Amino acid sequence: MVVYLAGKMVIGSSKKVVADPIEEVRRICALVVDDDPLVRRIHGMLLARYGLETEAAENGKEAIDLFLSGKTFDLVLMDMEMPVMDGLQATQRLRGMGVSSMIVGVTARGLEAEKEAFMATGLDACCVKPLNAEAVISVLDELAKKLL
Amino acid sequence: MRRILRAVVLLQVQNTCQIPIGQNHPPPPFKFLPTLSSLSSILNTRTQQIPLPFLPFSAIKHPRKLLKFESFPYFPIRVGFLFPLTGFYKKFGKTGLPVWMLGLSVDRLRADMNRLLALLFHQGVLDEQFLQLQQLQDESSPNFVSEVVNIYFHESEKLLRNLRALLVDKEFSDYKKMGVHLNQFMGSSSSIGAKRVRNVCVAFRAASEQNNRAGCLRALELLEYEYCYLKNKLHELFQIEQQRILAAAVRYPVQHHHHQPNNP
Repeated sequence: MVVYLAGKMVIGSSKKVVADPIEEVRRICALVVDDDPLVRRIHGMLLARYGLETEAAENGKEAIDLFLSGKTFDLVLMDMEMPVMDGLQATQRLRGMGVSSMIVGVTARGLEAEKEAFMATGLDACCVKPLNAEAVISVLDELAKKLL
Repeated sequence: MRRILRAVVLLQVQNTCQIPIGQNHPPPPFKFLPTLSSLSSILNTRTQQIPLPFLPFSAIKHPRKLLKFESFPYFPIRVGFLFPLTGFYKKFGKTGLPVWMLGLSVDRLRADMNRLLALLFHQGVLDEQFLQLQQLQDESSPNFVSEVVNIYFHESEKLLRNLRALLVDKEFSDYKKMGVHLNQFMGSSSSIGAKRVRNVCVAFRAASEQNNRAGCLRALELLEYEYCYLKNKLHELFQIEQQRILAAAVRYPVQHHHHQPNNP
């Protein structure tokens, strides 16, 4: 199986070219979990710019329901503060369900104590909102290492 | 005869065609030019100063003579309905600004946009996050920035109403709820690069964490002021951009190539 990224067979900034496709090709799927429609739109566009297929969820419970419905995502951008179910609870539940997707926490606050508490729930990384192109590339680099 | 013609021209000016802005319409042909309001803004003239729309038809045939009539606007005028197949229509039916004059407005509008953006950056109203949004806009999402900004306006006005409703209540004590609204407002403002609005939200949140109602009220007034200023300036920016797109479309009309089967 070959990972198809950003329209070309390249990975992150290393420009490593993968061999020709063998059997099947699939796009990387990402889930943006945020109660703010503005952030969902911007982060979705940022990820789509790098060739990812994106879906969105308004809170942690919707994200869990998506996974329970059988959908799989390679990358989850999880907001910390959300109504119904926040990012910390959602991340804990997902890890408890055995979800091994890369989960990156995003928070509007940059407080270290809060970030550490968020990381302790099972995140792979934690970034400050809003994400920019450099942050997304760094996340995709980590994701590529995890997938390959 | 000239009086009759003048009356007809005045009637037609009132019924000039409207070119919709912000929609994907094909660029208008040479005869149908922008309406009075958009044309006057492009030419940077005030509507009240524009004299009666009577065109000296002889000037149309000789572009250099147009320089004498710089202060006169040119309206989309259709006289062809009176004389559809006569030589009069064929000779005098084409009216409006010549294309070479319209081209000048595109560069001017682009300069106005850049000047306004530079001012907003200099004032600290916007930061580099706004530039990131502009970089995400491309041919596949040509209205991305305006869509995102409209979502921001919609959400922000909801949050401002909620904040005001909380503070107006004399028995208000739910500072935690206020903090939730403020966090959302901060996050949205950071996402579009609204730096000054975000900074006021930070101060507002500090006052709410201290349960300082008077401080919160002052911060809310300042927040509403900064938000209104930002909204007005962004509206102005998008208006100039729409005029620039319109002027560029009229300058470069779409060429319809008719494919002939015999030619490869």
